[in-house]
Amino acid sequence: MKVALFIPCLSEHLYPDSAISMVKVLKYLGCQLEYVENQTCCGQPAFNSGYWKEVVPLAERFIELFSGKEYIVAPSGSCVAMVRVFYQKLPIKKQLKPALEDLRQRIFEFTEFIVDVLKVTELGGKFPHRVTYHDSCHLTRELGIREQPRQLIRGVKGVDFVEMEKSDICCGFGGTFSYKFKDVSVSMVARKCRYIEESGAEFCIGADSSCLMNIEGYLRKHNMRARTLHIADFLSRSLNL
Amino acid sequence: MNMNSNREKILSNIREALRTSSNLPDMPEDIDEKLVEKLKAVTPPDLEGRREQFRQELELVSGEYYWVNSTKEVALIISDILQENRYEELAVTDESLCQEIAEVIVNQLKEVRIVRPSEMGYPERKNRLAQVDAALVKAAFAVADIGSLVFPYDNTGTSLPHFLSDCIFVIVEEKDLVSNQFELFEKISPEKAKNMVFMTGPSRTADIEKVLVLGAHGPRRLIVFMYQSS
Amino acid sequence: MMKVSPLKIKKYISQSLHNQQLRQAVDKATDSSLITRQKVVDQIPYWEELRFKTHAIKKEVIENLADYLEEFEKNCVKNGIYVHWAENSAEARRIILDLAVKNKVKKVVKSKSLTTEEIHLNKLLIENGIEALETDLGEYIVQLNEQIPSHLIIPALHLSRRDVGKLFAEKLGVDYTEDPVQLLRIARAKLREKFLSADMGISGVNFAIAKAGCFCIVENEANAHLTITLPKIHVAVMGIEKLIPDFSSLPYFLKVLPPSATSQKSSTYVNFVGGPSRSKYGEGPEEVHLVLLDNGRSRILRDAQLRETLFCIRCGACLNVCPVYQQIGGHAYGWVYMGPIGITLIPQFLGEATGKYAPYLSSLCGACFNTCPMRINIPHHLLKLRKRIVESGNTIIIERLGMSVWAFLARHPHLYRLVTWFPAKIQQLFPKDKSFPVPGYGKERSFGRFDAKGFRKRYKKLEKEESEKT
Repeated sequence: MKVALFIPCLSEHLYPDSAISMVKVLKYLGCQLEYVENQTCCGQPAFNSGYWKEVVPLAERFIELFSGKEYIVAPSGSCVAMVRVFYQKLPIKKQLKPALEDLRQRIFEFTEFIVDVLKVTELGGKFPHRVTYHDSCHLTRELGIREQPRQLIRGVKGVDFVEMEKSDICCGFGGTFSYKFKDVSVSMVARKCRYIEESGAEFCIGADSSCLMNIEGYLRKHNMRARTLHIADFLSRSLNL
Repeated sequence: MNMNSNREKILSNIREALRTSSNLPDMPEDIDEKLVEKLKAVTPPDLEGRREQFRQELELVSGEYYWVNSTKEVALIISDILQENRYEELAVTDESLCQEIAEVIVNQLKEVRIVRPSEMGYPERKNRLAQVDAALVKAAFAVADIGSLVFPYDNTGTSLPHFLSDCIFVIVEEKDLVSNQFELFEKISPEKAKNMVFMTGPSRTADIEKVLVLGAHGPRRLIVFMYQSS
Repeated sequence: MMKVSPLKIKKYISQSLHNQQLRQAVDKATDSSLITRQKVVDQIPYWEELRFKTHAIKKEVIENLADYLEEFEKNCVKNGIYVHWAENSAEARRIILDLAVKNKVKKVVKSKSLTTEEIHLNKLLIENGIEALETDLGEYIVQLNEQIPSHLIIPALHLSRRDVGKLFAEKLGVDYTEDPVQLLRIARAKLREKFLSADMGISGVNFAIAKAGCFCIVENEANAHLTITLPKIHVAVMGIEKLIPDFSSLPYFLKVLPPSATSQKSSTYVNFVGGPSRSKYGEGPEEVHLVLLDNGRSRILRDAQLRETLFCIRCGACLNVCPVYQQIGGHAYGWVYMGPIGITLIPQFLGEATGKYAPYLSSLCGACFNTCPMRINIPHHLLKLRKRIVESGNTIIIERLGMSVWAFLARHPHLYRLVTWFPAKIQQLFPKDKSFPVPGYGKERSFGRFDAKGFRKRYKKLEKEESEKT
């Protein structure tokens, strides 16, 4: 299985360890990996803020860079959603439309790829801790990915998996929203962290580093016990990779 | 600006705006089929089942239910309630069934006064009925899946007793029980449907701290007699 | 009442966030609404199918709106209903005031109508010496308190029973009570007198049926029925988008509205108005007038995607489920329509300059779309509206520059790598557990840490190590 890595800018600059964990897990599962040189950003932050014109050349570049790859996998639901759901809203060059259509069928979020394409749910690792799971918005509601991460968590031995209250309520990040309406964003993440604490979990697992950064940012500032854990890190650790 | 130019302007603005067709998603092809199938699955196949469904739904919205087969039976129950609550007057609409029941009640309880909306003009009717605590009316249809009653204006000739009284007694014939509103609109004529009221339980509000309170501006108590047709 | 505007959104949000009582009330109300709603929806196995169906029916009507409106008008007129067309708020107010003056109306009773709030009707009537009394309990309370509603469906959400008790004692001269049952009895008695003596009743419209020439008003309290049948004249105000084709379409809408609006399987009353009934039945209004309101709706139609925002049936479900609304309540939005649907309508009705903040008051989480009984894809519309705001020049210059620079860099990977090298180095100046200093972050919640190497370098190192092994 040949897999091209799509590394979102947040993973590149702030959470490369999680992306490295993803690399290790995919290798463990027998994938042949390729890092597409010169990838930068899919354009989501600018797109979400309304700067569509600026994103068009970025999208076109992305489509060209990743065309012809058999599978493309990213450790992020929101970035995959950007390509799969939102790129088609942009007025990209007509000649690139077939390539985009093809790309949309071949681009996957990490857990989705493992469960739906590699058809694996039990990786055989061990993680004897109480954990909970946060459903990121784009992953859940744009891509419909809810079960795959849970199956992978349950497939690890020794895990005490508890669902927190309202696991799919927004953590309040929303990209530039977290800055533009900072106080509202903070009150939203405060609530999410309260639910994590009430679940008694040591770790809150998630599939998007942006959400996890937001949540952990609050947990730490308020001396709360739990920590976030990207699902790639969780799986990698469980396997001692 | 005169009326017609408003109208013309609005209509032409709309037509101009709609020159580009929507890029909104189409309904998936199997939806209509699934709707019919699923609706059927929740509809009790027999009359007794639908009656039971109606009763359950009515009681869920705080309505009270009696299954009766004679006007005498209805009259007895109503008389008891009138006495318990010391209601001195009962507004009764013109349907023959209601009139029959009213006669029996009056024979039972000599002190109850029957008030007939149709005998009053306006504004007397509204002011008078506002003083009457109880009313007896007939519904043209009952809807099983949500416990509703249907009152076309045409049938009753009045809607005020249904709303101004504290306690309302509704009689509906079993043969007029339909499974759901889809069936209702198949049965009822468009002429009648234009002026009617659906009633599902007594009036209510939860506007203060979301605490449910019955008897907002309309009846506080709704009692339904499902009348077994011979 | 002070002039409220969506431009002051940031101020209102700050006020809301500091109001603990409000936040608790909003939290409690939205939470309980959602729980009850779920119980009701769980009893409807064809719920998802209903949502597709209502969307399809509305799409058909909206795409052929002019034809449906003409048919509707024709049938209404046949039924004896007077149909008026109002291009904007001022026109609608004038039509209603003229009717009131012509008929020497002194007392008006109103049932809940967001459309009449949209056109600021009450103010004009009162200025002209006409009493305009809200009869929906929540609206009555809010009117007495001289405020604006804080929720589309539960207008007095922000007030506790104690608040209402004090209000009634003060404004109505009754003994203080905080028992909701007693409070309702007080309101019922006061309003009963008003219903019986009113000269005109004004209502909104939930659904208008084109083929039949009639319209429905859905309610629980019975105040709408009394409003529209007791006075001599009934005036109904309706947005032009409220049409549905025929009676057989109606049950789909009557099945999705109550669970979404009030977490009920069915509302208590559906009133069908098909003409003046006084002469025929000896009661009911002598005249029925219907005001068709455009006020910017035909302009919204121009966009092939955004016209979906006109599918809204004003149920308020999106408010209840919105994690942003749950934190700030309805007053924060600065307009009659609030919450997720509100922020799509504000820039469309009021323009990009006034509405430049509204569409950004969302994390695009999609809970609204998931819940909307009409399947309005609010997050997608917000994205498009943000684009409009950028294109209209209503964003700050620093942001515009920043986005252009970022986009430029992202197209030039060598420059990109060069520029992003700096924050990584700056990060190293900070102690190991300190996050990257981003303005606006830090106090309540920290940002992440810039990695010294970044993924690309780490990956290359990993690959090198692996090839050296083999």
